[in-house]
Amino acid sequence: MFTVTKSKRQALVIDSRKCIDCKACVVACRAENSVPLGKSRNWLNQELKGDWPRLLEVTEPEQCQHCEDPACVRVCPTGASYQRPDGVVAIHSADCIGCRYCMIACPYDARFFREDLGVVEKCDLCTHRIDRGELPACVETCPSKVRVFGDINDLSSDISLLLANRQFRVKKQEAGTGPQIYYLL
Amino acid sequence: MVRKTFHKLRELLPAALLVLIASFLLIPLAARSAGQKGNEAKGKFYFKQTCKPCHVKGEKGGEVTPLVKTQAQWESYFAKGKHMKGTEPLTKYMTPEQLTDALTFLYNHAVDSPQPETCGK
Amino acid sequence: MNRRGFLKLAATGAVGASIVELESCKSPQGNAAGKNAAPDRVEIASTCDMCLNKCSLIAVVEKGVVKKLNPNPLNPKSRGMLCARGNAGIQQLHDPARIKRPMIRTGERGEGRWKSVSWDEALDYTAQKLAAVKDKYGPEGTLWSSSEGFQEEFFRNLSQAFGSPNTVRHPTLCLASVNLAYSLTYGTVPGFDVQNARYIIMSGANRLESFITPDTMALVDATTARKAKLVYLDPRFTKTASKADEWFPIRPGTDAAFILAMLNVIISENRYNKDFVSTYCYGFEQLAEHVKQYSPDWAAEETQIPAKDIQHIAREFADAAPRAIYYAGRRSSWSTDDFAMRRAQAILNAIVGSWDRLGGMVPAAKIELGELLYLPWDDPKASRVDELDKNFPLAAKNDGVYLKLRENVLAGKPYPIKAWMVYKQDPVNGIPEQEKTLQMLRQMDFVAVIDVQMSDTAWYADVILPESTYLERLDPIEMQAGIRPVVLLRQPVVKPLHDTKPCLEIVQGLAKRLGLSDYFDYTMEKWVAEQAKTLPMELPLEYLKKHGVYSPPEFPKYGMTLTHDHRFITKSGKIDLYSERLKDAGYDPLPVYHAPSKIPDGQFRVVLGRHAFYTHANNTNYPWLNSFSPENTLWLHPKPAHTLGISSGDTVEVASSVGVIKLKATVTPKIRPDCVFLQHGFGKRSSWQRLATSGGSDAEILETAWDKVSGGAAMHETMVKVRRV
Repeated sequence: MFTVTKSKRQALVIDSRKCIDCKACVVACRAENSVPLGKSRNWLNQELKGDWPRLLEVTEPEQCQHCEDPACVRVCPTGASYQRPDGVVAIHSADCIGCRYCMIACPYDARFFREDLGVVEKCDLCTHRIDRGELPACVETCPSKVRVFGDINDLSSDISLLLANRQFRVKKQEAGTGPQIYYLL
Repeated sequence: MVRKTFHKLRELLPAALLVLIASFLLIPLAARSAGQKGNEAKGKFYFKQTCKPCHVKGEKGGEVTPLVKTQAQWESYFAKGKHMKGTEPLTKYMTPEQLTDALTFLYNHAVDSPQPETCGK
Repeated sequence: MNRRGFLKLAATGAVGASIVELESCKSPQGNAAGKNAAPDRVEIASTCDMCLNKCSLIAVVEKGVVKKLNPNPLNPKSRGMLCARGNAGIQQLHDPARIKRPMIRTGERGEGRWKSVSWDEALDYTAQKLAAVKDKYGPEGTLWSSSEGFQEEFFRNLSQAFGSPNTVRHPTLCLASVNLAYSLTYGTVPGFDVQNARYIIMSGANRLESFITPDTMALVDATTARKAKLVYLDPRFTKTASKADEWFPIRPGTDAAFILAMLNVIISENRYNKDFVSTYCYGFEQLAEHVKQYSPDWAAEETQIPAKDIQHIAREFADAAPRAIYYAGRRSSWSTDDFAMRRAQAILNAIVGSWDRLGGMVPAAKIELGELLYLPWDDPKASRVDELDKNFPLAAKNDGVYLKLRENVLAGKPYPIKAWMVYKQDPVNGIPEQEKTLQMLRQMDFVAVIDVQMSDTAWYADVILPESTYLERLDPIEMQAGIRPVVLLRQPVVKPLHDTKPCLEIVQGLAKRLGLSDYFDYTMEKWVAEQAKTLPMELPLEYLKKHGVYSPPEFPKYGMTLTHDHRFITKSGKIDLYSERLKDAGYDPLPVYHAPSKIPDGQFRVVLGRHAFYTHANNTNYPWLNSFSPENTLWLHPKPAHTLGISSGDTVEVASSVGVIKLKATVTPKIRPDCVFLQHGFGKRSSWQRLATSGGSDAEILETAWDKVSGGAAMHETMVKVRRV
């Protein structure tokens, strides 16, 4: 799954055990990317299991998976949705015609439509921040440091070391798009 | 008549004596302690303005905070009224009123004073 | 500037500054407008104020507009994070419903009719009203209530300079019982080294949810990395319960039984730290005798936690010591015997020696700041209206006991209170039994509120003096004592957006009109400059303006008090397991268990708690935060819900002996069947808080009850009837 190349491959590791559902990442993303209320570039999946008093609750953050083989990019008629050399899947809003094929194609429901602007938006790992050498807003703001961001082609990076030493899973592997968010087990 | 009164007084004497003794015991409890007669906010000001410059770490007086003595020790110190190992009076530095205020500040924050901590200042 | 002037400057080494000045004159626009144009993007370090933690932030300001608040990685306490509330600080600043200029009410109190006025008019009016009350009732006829904040001391100073002894603060609506219990035991309230602990017990201290503190982050780390065992007691399955190694839905109000039984086991099985006890503690023999009656079997009956669990937890706790802590928490009092429970906690931590060592309780270290000496005033002549000396002789004087104070004010005894000045506080929502608070407001000749938003209390005010938000102010430098003490600066990241003022200027405006100017004869700049003088770096103020925070590298330090000549600030000079001071004041010198009140058949006990994205009633009206929970609902366990025919989403009526509210129900297994829960900060009256007017206010139904020793409002003593409507 990992190819040893000189180019960067940005990815995310998420350790849901650390997530306390504090909503910091959702608010930070909203502030950083001017995401309107009612839409979200990232979200928190919650599951409550069991019966009183044997209860179990898990919160799992999610956002665009920045897939290796992004279906959204394949179906985009204008090329507005594109993949950067570092693997981040982004959108040139100026070229987006709002056809929303990408929203149908995405197995993860990671995209949303901006009625006010007539374009589709999603998480772009805060390209404006990462290109300045900063972390995506959700990664930086988190009190528990649930997310680890980095280059998985750099085998000495924190993210690579985590993936080398821990077991992990990905979501909807069967969809075949090669999601790049790794959830630690 | 005088004799009757005299005998009456003799009867009452023990009781009177008791009352007298009791009142001496009660007076300290009823009156405020010497350490509480002054104005704490002013005392803090005078302490910081006059005493602190010499009484910090590294300066010639050595660090002095309210915590270096108990309440009784502060009262005793100010009652003696001497400074610099008894070589000069405290009144060299402050008026008697200011000293009363300073004592109140120190007394209220002494090492055995009941000063529950609180949130914020 | 001419050449001679320039040379003069060059000689003094100030050339650098003047060159910068010259360059800005030659900015691209090149003219006056260009010189004043806001920079495209700057980052300014400052300090958050969305809760009491005061995390460090970096504001990203683009062309004079705050675009984002980022974490500041230099603060070892906030550790490079900014929580949901912190991120939403922008909404406090840009809130369209902010109070933008002083206002005086035109209609009746609570009608919501206002006229905007100038500062002069608002301050004149306020000063006149205060002077009128002073003339008729004495300065003690005024009440000054405030919550903690970097500028709070100016407000309190004004109250004292004015001559009123009646200040009342938030602690008796918060952690007064914790503060008092630990102060009486250790002479101080220590920090808890959660980062390094190996065994942590928390009673209702919902650290992973109620708000994000350094202990939150340490706890996440400790539990997920399996460095520490977390035992958590709470009638609700909170976020903390979901991460705990062992969670017990303890019967509310019985935590003291649990702890006393732990003491019983640890002492009877000789698992306590004998050396520590004999060297540093006073009163062990009395304690040992006292806890003999509190067996695990007895405690199991009270707490509904199995005796074998109490035993194994006690043993594990003692074994893990000194890296074992029973965490004090910051919670408001729950029962009228809350103090006994906090005392039992403090004592438990002591006998296993978890003091001033890695992973235990550590006394807070301080950093010395300079102090501007200002003219002091005479102490107020009258004694406090809540008669603390008589009713709560051990309580912190300046904090007051809110519920007792309100009771006395309503009765007009020992003397009337006719003016109420409120700073940074919402008593209408913060105090139980809201109807009485409203009654208290009605009794006032004058009510003034200093706030940034139209809180429910501001809604009933006669005049509102709007404070600038934390992003628009220079505040006094704050030193936060703790295991890792820090010095924080809060500086303005933008100029005030509206016609608002910082608290100090409001205080000075009032002082001038009340003839008290001499006591406030300084500027904030002077104050801050004086404070910074003692810091060790060169140009400390410049350092703080650049970095926002200073953290001395030599901390944490352990063992500073573990010397043979250390005297604890207690009556005995040692750690008071047995407290003579409590005895002298007529209270139990050792914690005595009192069973909680029984819940009448068919009723429920109300329990409270907080979420990570709301600070009390403070920010439920900010859309980014409100979107997570647009209204509060009543949590009800499925079993009683079924009996009452209630499903999630049904509207229910919740009735206590003092009030009735209506809100929707959430049927959830995350709560004991005999309890109900509702979130604070909803059911608001102020129409300017329109996102928070739905649901119901807990303040309306909570009954008046207080902890016997500290006076802290007992928030879990209310029983309610619930029915579908």
